[in-house]
Amino acid sequence: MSYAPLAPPGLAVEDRTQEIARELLERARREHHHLTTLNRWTKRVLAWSLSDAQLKAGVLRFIDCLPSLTTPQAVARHLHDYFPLHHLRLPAAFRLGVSLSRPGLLTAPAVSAVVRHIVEQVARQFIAGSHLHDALGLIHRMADRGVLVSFDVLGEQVTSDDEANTSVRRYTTLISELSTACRRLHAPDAVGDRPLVHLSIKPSSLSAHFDPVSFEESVADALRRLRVIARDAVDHDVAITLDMEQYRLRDLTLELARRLLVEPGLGERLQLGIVLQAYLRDTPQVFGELLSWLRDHGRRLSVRLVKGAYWDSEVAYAKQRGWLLPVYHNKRQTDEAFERLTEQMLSHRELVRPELGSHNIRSIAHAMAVAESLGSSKDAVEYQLLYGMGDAIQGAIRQLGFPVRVYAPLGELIPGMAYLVRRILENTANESFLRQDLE
Amino acid sequence: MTAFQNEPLADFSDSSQRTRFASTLEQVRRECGWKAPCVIGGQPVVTGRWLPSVNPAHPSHIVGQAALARSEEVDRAIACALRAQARWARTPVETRAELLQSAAARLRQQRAWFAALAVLEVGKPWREADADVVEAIDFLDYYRAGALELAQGKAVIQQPGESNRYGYVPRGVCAVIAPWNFPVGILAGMASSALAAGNVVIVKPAEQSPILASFFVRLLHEAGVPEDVLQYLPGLGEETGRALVEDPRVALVMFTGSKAVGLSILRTVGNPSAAQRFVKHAVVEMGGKNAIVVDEDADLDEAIHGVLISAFGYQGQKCSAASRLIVHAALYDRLVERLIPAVAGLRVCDPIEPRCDLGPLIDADAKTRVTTAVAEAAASSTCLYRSPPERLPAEGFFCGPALCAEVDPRSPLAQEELFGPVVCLFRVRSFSEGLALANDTAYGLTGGVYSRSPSHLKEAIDSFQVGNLYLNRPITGSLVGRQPFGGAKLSGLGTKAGGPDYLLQLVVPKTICENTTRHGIPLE
Repeated sequence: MSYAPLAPPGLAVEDRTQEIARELLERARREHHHLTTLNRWTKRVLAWSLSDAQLKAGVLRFIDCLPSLTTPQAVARHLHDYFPLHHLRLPAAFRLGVSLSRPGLLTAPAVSAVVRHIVEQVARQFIAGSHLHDALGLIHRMADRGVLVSFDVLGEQVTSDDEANTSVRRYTTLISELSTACRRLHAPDAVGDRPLVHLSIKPSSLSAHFDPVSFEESVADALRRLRVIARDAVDHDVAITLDMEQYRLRDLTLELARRLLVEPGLGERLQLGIVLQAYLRDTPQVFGELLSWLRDHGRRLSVRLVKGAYWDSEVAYAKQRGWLLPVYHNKRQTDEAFERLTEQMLSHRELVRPELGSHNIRSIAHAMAVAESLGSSKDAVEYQLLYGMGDAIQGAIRQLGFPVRVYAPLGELIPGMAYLVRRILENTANESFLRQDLE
Repeated sequence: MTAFQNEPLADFSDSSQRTRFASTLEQVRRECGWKAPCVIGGQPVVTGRWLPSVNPAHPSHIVGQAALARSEEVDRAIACALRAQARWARTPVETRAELLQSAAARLRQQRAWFAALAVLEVGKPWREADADVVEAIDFLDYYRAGALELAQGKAVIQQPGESNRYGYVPRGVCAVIAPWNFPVGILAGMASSALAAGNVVIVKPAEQSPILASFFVRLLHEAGVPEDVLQYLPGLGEETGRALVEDPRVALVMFTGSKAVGLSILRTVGNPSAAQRFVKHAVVEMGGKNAIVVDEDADLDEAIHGVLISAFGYQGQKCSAASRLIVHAALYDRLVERLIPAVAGLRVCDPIEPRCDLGPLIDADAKTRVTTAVAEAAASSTCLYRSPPERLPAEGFFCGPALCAEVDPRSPLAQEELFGPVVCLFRVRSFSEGLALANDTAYGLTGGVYSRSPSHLKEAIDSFQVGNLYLNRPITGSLVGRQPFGGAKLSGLGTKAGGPDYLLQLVVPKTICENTTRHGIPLE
């Protein structure tokens, strides 16, 4: 597919970035009026939750522990525990819950039901659901909008071999069932030959011993299980991406990708992706080494460039151990690195299939401007957004004719919400995603 | 002189650090076979009796041999120390601080070497061995800074015509009776604090780790600690240790170890002999029967992770280790269902291998003690998990992890310190019941709570009777200056290693009041 430039050539990338950003913003504003996804009520709950730092912490922490509360009495007690002072400023439904949970007014079961209902309502916004039909429904709904999906399976940490084996079974079941169900579904227009079914795999879910101290054994143990998933993925024409978790697991994760790519009978056929986190100081160097490796081995890899979601926990982890921070100290440095990495990624399309995981309009527009300056076609970069966040931007990118994929968590609503909240707790910057839809 | 800062831990996610440590291990393994005579006044003293120190993962591999001190060496060492005491006490605190700083710098350079020796002599897995040496560096630096501060004395009320001063003087000859489980860290903590405060020190290392101790003493001497200020006296606890504690010339005993020995030291110290010209003082850190209470709303991922680290880190051979797990009934079955396979997956092997989760126990006695206790538990209660013997390495003092449930809370297994990778589980109906059960022992060293209920955390802070309380994190791994460490109840006297009050135990306050007038006329 050839690509006709949107503007006369010669304009500098920076000018085009700003021009595209304005256009995206304009289209996103118009899109926003048509959105009905966030119902008014969910919006109110979110807006209220984020209105005050202490309150926000209380809400997030409460949701974090909600899945573990097995009795209505426990839910009622935690409500009082977490919101001793704020009950007067709660939105109506929550306030009802807290005041009614006082003895004699309403039974704890009723309170518990109200609270769970609220959290489920919010969770539905961000989590696809836990069943196959939820996942399929999402693929279809998104396909109608010309948008692809990548699924992320939410789950507990893996602490034993049994649990690692269980997570492999969940991945392989999902691969075969989704690909079977999607066989007759046509890919949306203008996405090229992009795989319809895409799974994100958490490397730490593949081994109870995914620890860099014993690098070889950790790689071998995870690879043993990843290979099973990868074979199924090849057989069913499903693409997989190895998610990037904490910094200390980064080298292990990249080694898994390299081993898979040279696996006989598998490496040439597998549609494999990895993730690069722009907030890590050494990502440019690591990416350079990866490019050389791909060149030497004649392999191509999808690369999802993200800013990184574990900033606060990376800082705490390093500081508690007296280590240099692996991440940039301020956000501006990360944003700059993100743009440099975008350029590096787009200049090596013979080795990587670029994917851009950002909700930031400037970062998205910059990638579009760079691609344009390199004379790349519109489908050179896949733009990836989190499900339930930034639907207006998603629509704007689609309108301009670029491929879009949403990253959707699959799981039970309330535990799933707790996992999402944990991500938010780990990184205060993440909440900006929540805010974006409210403005 | 700079402020204290914790030494960074090794980062084994860095491949160069892994490679370097593996090659250091290989180098130290080849070097093994040292002879460590007593060192009195800087002179090596061979006694004719040798105590072998073996690699607990390969008992046929002798790490080294230490001389067994006889009463003659004890006497000479104390006499030598006593002669040096006055001079060391008068040595400016700045000089003493510089020596410790220099020792810390040397240990920083040799940390991989010392850590590798800890893997071989006491069976520590990589990270544990590294943390042990890091703690030693921290102690040297922390007490260096602390001694300088202590030397400032404290402010007291002043009035015209008098000058009031309040300062601290050393106690005298100090016997440091060190444990094997933190063979570098705790030894360094006790010895360096005593030296920093101006006491002369006689090190009596544990029988199981005399080689590490000999190298540490050598390092202090090389850093400039005068030869007669620090003696090295390997020997048996029953002989050398007892002789030091009972000697009327020893003013201060620093001990970390079992409750039985600790209490016997306190009894001795409390009964001054006729020959004594002072009341002895003892700093005694004893054991623990530490509990983790898991509330109904606990984060199970975190709790399981925390239990694995707290209970099985260094094979449970830490005084801070968790040996009781008290779980709310609402969560009990789910926790057990996940904990058993997690424990079964722990890798028991030679700690020279980086994948090692559990190395060997320290010696044959420990292995017999723990194996017997687990066998008895299996006979009298439900043993949820025991390592199949065929999965343990053939050679070495290995004993895999074990989980026991339905243990009688009054039974020895639930009450007495076992010092091995064995955890008793208890099911409770409420958080308060859990705390009450946690408090129902003679010990009170560390304790942990996994709960996401603010009111329950507060309840734990108010009523959990322990020296170190950890909320929603593992209960081991305290850091110098950040989590000062030491127990309550029968675990200790409340001295906190690596804390702001520790040095006060090693000195005696002295008040000086000078009349600054002559016949009503001010002198100045």
